[in-house]
Amino acid sequence: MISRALATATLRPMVLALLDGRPEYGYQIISRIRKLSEGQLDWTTGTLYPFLHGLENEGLVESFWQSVDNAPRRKYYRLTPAGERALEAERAQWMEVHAMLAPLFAAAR
Amino acid sequence: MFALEHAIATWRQVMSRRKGLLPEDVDELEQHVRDEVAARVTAGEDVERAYRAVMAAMGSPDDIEAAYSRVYWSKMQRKGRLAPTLIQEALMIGHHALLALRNMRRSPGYTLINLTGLAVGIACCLLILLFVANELSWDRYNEHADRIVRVVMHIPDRGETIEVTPTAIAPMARRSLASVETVARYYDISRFRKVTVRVEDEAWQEAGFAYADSTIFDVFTWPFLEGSPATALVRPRTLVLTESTARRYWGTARGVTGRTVDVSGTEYEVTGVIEDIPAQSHLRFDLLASFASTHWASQEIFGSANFYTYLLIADGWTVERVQEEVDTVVEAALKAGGFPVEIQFPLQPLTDIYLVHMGRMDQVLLFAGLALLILIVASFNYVNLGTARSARRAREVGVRKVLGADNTGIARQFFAESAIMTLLAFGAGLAIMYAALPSFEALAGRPLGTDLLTSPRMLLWTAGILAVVALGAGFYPALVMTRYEPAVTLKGAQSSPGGSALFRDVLVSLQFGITVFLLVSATIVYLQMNHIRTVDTGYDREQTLVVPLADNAARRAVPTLKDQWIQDSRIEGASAMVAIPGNMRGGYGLLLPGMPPDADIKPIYASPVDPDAPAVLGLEFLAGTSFSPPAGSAGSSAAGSAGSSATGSSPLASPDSAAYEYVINEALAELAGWSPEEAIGQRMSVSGTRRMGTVRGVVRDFNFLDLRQGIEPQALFVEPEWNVLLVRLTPGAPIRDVLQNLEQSWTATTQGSPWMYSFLDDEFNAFYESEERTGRIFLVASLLAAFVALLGLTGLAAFAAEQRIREIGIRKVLGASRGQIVLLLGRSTLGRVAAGALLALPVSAWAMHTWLGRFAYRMDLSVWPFAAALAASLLVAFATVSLQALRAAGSDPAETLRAS
Repeated sequence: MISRALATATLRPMVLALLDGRPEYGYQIISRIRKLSEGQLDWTTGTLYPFLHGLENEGLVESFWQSVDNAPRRKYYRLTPAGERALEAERAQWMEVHAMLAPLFAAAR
Repeated sequence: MFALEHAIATWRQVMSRRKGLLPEDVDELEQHVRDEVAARVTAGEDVERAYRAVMAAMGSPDDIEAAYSRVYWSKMQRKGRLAPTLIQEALMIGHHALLALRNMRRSPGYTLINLTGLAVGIACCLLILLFVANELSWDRYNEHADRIVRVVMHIPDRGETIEVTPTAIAPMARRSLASVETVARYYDISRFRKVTVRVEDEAWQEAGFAYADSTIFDVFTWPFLEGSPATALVRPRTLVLTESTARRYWGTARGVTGRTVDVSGTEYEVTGVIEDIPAQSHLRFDLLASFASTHWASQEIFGSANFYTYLLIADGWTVERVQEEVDTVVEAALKAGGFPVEIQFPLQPLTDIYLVHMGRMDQVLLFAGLALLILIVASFNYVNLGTARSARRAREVGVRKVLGADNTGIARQFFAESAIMTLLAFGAGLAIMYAALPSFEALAGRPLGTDLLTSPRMLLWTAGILAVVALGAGFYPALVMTRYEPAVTLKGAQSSPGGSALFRDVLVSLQFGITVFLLVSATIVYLQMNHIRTVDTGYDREQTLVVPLADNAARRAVPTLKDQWIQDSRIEGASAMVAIPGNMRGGYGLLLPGMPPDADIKPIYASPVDPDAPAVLGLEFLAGTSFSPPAGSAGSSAAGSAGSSATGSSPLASPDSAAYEYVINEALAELAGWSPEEAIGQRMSVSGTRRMGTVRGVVRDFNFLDLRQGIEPQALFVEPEWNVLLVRLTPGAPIRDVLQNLEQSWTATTQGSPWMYSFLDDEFNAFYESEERTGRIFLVASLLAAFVALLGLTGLAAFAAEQRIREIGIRKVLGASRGQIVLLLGRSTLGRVAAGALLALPVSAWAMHTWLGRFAYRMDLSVWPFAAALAASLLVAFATVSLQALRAAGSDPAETLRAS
């Protein structure tokens, strides 16, 4: 199980990365996170939505309601240009952390 | 059978009521639930299990609400709905306010009680805040207030700190301290005596005459109306006047520079006029002459200390670092000068002088404490009446809950009510404050600037206090109300008052505890003041005039005046002396013959007087006699009148004479190891090898210092160092006529020295003014607290009587008398009041014991002020309750029992 603090830090780059390139609705995002983390990230769904709304307040994502192929209307989220820059910044940071930790862990082993 | 649609609908309803979730948010969540359930069912799960799993993953409604609330306001802003949302909230508050006002109107009696109590409490708080703000603003008018320090002198051997310093400190600081921007000395001559200022043909006695270095204007902010700060006090015999002094002399403050005034025989040129010194200043003067006019200006010695020294610290230095520098420099100088006594020169920040070093902080805290107590008593009223009457509103709360109000909404309503009550009380309190301001100024003994009321800090404090009162008073009622179960209250069961009755009892007890504490304090402070006023001080102060001797002409006239006045049968005697009893603070050292020259000289007090002083003061001789009448005396009936020449009124030619005479008090005889009889004829001196003389008489101890201090050794000796002339009138003499005669002969003999006088007993009482004031403040505060507490009690009693009106009806039908009914209602109240009072008694006994400890002369703490306060509070409380009970008892049982 991934610790609470690390999980909180992971959520933001994860959601931004998931939305990179194509819009998705909440249930899609959540089920992909579940699949990716294989249950290691334990988020209650009810709090993930306000998190998305928070990103929207920051201007990193935008939302729209749409009905595809006679399916019920769903709320889709997609990255804004600011969101793409934020994703790039997150990616750079995580790679940096990774680059710092990898040799250390390799040496420790 | 599980119905998914029904489950989702119910769940939707629950979520919609949660704060922070917009309808579209609920839509989004609902679609999620549907999608996930569908996915699980497709995977082969049964619908009910799928739904439960989804709900489990969703989390608790509380967590969801919390997460949504966090992003709510920025979401509103993003959607451009911030303003409408705020308006909606405001409308909600308006709605609460409307309900609150309706509730108030429904029971005007209780509203009035609450409002009056709170308004009185708030008015007290505002006055105190104003007072505190004024006290804290002392000396702050100076631009450099934070960089000014006063140098004081500390003598470790004697454990004594005095605020005056030697001449040497200022020049030394100017030369050798890098941390000091500038230095100024200030010498307040009117600390010792008044001076006579003659302007053209008029003469004025001035109590505000001081000397200062020309740099004083660089240190303090005293704006010039005329003249230049840089040059005003540079030359000898120049002086600066305050605006109102100039107006007093010439009727104008313009164009007066260059004019001359005569100060005790010396001509001074006016070189400047400054604005009047603000009231909140520890330095005050009317005339400020150049330090260069004095002979001390050329001195640089450590030996005698009479001067206030102020340093303006350079930017970037702290007081601590300047202190280090001062210590180093002073130590070197003292060592170089071979100074025998260890002395230190601590620095006092300007802004501490008034509050800390003049001891005003005590009074500030005392006032603040009193205001707080009254406000607490008033707030308790609100809480008590609010919860006692809660039963009436239980049904209202029940209906609201059924209609979907949550606890937050209900609590909000009650907080809104207390907030509105507080605001209304604030308005009323403001009015009361303005009305009471003049009387409060008299009570506090100083004018208070109301412009401080609107200063930002004051507004902040006011808002803070209002918020605390509103929240504090609203909290318990809100807590009680939200606990009601609608199912119980709506069934119409006669609900009992909410909240614990014990809690209310405790509050009432505390209220009366506070009241009794204040009553006891007020009584004891009053009694102690009375005690002081009537205590046997060992000297007579009845019918005695004090005439200040402000100039040499007046001093020279003393013998002649005494000769004239003693002929008048309405005058018993007159005597000139250095200071009046209560203020005989001259410090000397006792030396007995045969003591080794390097022996420790014992510090004593001694006072130069004329030979009639013991008689005029009515001192009682235990042994020996008074001073011998001077040679060539006019041979009057009193102990002797003055001699022929001005300085010859003393039998002695000079302090080097060995023919001095002493009249000493018991304490001095004891210090020297003599019995009163043994003392007569002993040789002693009060100043080393000079003033050697013989003890002529021993008098019973008298209070030559104020009554907070005990009686110390004192020696009287004859020497023309006089600042006051005491005139004792024959008892029953027509004071007005005598005064007229005295003034005529005074004016003729002194060649126009201004005639001023006061009465010795008034001067005596003035010493205890601050205690008198404390006493009056306690009295007012205790009466206010009692008033507010009784208001609350009236409300509670009326409520209790109303609640038990049917019980009373039944009892009356069954034959109970009015007395029995009053007793029935009054008994429980008496218990609470007594409990509070008993709690207060030991506290007040301790507090008063501590306060009385400040007086060397204190009354014995007897039981009766405590008993009286206890009895009075019980009696008045019982009377208050009885009044309400009587009303209830007077009701017609036929009426009360029929009504439902």
